[in-house]
Amino acid sequence: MKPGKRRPKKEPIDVDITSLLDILVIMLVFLLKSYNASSLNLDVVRELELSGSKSDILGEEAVIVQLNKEQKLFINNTFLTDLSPGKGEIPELLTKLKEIKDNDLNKKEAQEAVAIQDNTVDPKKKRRPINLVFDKKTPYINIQRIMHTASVAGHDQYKFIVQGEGQ
Amino acid sequence: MNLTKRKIKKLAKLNLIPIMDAVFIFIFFLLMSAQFLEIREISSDAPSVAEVEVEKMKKEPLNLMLEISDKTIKVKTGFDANLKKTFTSLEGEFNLDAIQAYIVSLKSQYIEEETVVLKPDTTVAYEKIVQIMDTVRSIKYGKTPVVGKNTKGETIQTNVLFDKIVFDAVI
Repeated sequence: MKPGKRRPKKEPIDVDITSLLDILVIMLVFLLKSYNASSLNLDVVRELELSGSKSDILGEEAVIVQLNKEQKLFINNTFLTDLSPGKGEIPELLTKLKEIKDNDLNKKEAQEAVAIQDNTVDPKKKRRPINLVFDKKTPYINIQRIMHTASVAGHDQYKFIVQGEGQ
Repeated sequence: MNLTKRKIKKLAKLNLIPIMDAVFIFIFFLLMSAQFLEIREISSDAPSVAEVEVEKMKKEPLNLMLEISDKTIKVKTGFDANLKKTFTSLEGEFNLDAIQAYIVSLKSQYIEEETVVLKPDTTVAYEKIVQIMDTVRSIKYGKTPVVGKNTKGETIQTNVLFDKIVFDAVI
């Protein structure tokens, strides 16, 4: 650098962010519209087409049993067995549901147990829901078998998961 | 004439950085909780048995039962499951409006009743069962609500039909 010469002062670059802000606002509105307040986190398995319904009740977190078009049975997104034709309970599902029930000693359950001990919650009123996700072409015989098995495992409330069609 | 030069006022620049930060955080939060598939549920209880003293009842309960097959829906009521009406499908599709109209007429007579028992055939597809559940659960959006009198003689108006669904012979 030559002595005596000063480097010219650089002015800060003025970036126009108006277009970026426009995109962000549009994205914000779109995401706010698709905001989901439900506690149910569902990953639908392959080859499963949900049945449409007019129901507007949001799902709740519980054990998820899925049965796809190929009659493959999944529990909490893990493949369990191929559902063979027949009647009565499904042994693999029954074992797994009982296992989940036994291991289900999380904080919430412990709190509920304390509440039952303190007589603030009636144990008879305590429900054990199960989320049932079936392909729309599933014959009732298989639905009945799954519901029966769930009932034997101690689940007394079935939540049929469907795709909302809006009002 | 006053020829003094007018000073050009520079526009004050808004500091958008904090709001941009907030919007970015908001977007990530919403992206995490966004659900692009509308997931809904239809609740059903496992059947339970309770003893009821029939003699004490002023009015016989409705005991609504729908026997569903691929071709017909039979509506039965009462303790003896008396057949009240049969709906036949046309090219595999049921007239759901007609079924709902009949269910509404039953609800207006038994306004306090909430339970319906479904008895589908083993071959009936799940999609059909969901359609029937929707039909018997509530009145279509925008239609006139059901009006009826309860046991106390009060007039009740509701859009809910029989929203407690129980499947027969599950246990």
